[in-house]
Amino acid sequence: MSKLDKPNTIARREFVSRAAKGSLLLGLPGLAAPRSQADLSWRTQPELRGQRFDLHIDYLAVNISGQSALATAVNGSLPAPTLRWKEGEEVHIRVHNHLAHDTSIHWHGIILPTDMDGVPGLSFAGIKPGSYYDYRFTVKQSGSYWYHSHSGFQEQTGLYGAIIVDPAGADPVAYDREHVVLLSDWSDEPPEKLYARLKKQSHYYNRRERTVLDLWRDLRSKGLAETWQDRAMWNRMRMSDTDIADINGIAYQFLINGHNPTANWRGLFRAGERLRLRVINAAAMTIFDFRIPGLTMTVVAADGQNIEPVSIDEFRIAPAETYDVIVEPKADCAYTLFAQSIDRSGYACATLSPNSEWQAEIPAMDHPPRLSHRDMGMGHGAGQHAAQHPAMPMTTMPGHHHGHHGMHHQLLDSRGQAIAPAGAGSQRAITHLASERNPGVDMQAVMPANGLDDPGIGLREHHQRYGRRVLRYSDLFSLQPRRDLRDPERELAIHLTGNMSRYMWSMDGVMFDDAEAIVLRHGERLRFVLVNDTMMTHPIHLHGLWSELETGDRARIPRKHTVIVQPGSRISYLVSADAIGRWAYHCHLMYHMPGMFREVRVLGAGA
Amino acid sequence: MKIETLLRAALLAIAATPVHAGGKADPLLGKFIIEHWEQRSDEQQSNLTVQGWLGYDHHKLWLKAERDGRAGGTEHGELQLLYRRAVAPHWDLHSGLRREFSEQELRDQFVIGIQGLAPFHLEVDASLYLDEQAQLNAELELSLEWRLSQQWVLEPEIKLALAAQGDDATGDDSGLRTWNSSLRLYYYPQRQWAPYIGLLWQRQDGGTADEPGQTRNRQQREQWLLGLRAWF
Repeated sequence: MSKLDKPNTIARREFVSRAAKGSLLLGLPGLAAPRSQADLSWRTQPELRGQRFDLHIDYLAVNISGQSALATAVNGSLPAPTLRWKEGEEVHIRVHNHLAHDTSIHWHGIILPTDMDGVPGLSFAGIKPGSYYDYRFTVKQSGSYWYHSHSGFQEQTGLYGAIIVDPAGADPVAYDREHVVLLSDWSDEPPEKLYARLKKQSHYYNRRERTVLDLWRDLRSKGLAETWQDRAMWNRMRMSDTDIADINGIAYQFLINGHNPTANWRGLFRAGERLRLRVINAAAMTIFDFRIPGLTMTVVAADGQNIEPVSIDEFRIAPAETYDVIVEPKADCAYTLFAQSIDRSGYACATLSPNSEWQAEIPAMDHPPRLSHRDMGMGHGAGQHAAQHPAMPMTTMPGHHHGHHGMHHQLLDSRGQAIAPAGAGSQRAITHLASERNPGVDMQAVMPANGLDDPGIGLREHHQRYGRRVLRYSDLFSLQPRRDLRDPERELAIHLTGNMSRYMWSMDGVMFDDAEAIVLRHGERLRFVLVNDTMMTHPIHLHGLWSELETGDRARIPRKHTVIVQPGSRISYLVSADAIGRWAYHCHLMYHMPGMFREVRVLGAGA
Repeated sequence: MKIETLLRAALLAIAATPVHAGGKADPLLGKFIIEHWEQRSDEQQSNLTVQGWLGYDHHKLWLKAERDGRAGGTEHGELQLLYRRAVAPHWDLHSGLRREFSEQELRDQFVIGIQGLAPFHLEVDASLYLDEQAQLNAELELSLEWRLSQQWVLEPEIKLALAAQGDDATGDDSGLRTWNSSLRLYYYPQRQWAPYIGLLWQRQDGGTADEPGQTRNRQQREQWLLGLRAWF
């Protein structure tokens, strides 16, 4: 690799002095307030379009919290520049590493050859300091995606950006103007330190721990018997019902397009326009609930894939997910984009406005959620969605949308066991593996609820409480009819496991370092069943292959790249193993990822 | 057939090379805890109890140290060097050596014990100690954290010391030797440190305390505490 043709390479020493100057500048009185940060205020990340890109990864002195800190950025921008590609075109991206450490870029949600996927150790060896890597692939899809580092905890330090792929043909979504709304979380502290702190005291950031006062209130309102019943499980499990987010607003500033609430990013519009917002969650650890008070949103795409439009007031977006929404502000006034963290410890906000002066009211945060028995996989309150169905014989007729209309023959998997048809989701009883019994696993969902129809903790009663309609996964249906209508040949159950207090995360009780790869046969179609044996909400991302979320109708199955698995619940999706290679499969919460990670290896016929 | 096996092996070997896909799941970490650093109201007594560990999720090197002081000197001190291993979701076993220091003597013991969190959030630390004279002792610590608010925490604690045999030299009987109960009220301005006040009830049976040779010397006293807890 040539070392000559990189004018932007900065020697380490030079960088340090530059960073020092930067911080000196930012440290000047009057410049220190977050509002007047020199680098980021009022600016949207630049957009790069075309087929040939040069991305330079380097350190960047930033001031996000009011203090200067060091970020890793692409081409001097945090977030990284938005990349605009065209479906059907080949793109060539040269990524230069100016850091003192290895780096990488993963194109999240993009279907591409395995050596272009950017996961060190699986796709390639990573990009060494002072060197570069050529990514080259043909873009075979359209929509809103994003890219980020897949090395260490680099993503947390600012290495993320949006990808927009314009469709080759006409866009089924009509709009007059668009904005990228990139959500993220920022801490001035190095990510390794945050992770170490959680390992030393896992509830470090929980400042809503249950108190004696809560017990007193429960006793007064519920009486002794019910309080005892309620508390007994938590006490036996030695867990906390306010354990919602491992890291929250105490450590984080929540950002939209790199701006904290004080800096308040602005997106412009003219009244009467159809606005397309490409909402991308690039946060390391934060699940957001997104809404725009005063505007109904029509969701037109999930994870870049067009869906049948659905009108809602609010949606939950986990790290790595993307939603495209259309809003039509009729009035000539400002609106607030409001994204509160799942535990209500903080929020990101920005403004949609006809001009650069107006600002709308910032709403108060909703009530903080508490976990229930349902979230511990205990079945209570799960209603009809509890996984009480034993292995029910499901029947299907080829071509039928809903399996249970036809009663002709029972579908069997390759081992002769009954298997539910495509779209129906797994109907099998949940069994726990022996590998789950170890010090790293503190809980098993005995009766996991079905997570498909669950908007998630804190949102379940939103309609009654606030009159807001919240998006559910069961609302998602592909706009384009699916061509692959095959039933799954087999089911693969994977349990998401962990130990809250030891802060250990794994799959099937085995951490990545000790695990074998999940092997798929090229061309096979199978059902992944994820069972969440923890009380945390995990967004699970499969690289290289689509996760076809089983929302019912096999012809309208929506394709996702990242799927939320609700606490103590399960969910299933279909996977067509149509890309040979070594793919990463993991929880997208950054500090769960090191352990809750698997290699999925798709082997060709010869292997 | 052979080649295929070799290829598979090679593939596995490649797979086994370090993957930097994410951060390190189980990095080497250390924690230092000042459990109690307190002054007691009675006779200028003080106590310093610290713990420290270095290790990984499942295996840790654990250090426990305690010093009971009295104006100007050490009345009693002990140092434990332990290997601690996770054996169940909420439980660890530990084993190692303890050295006790007092004005008169040094005593080394072999330690084996269990530490963890029982249902109802009861913190348990129980150890057996065996010395060269085959004297067997046991210590049990039980504590609870009652959170009054996000900052104020009330911690009742019981510490028992038991002996399997009587001690002719000191005249101690077998059975319960000391029974310490305490109640500490912590104020956490931040997660990592808290000043506290407390009450301590000490009961000692036998002559281990002050006057060797004197039998059935039962001592009982109540004391006020003022102290600091912190971890790094």
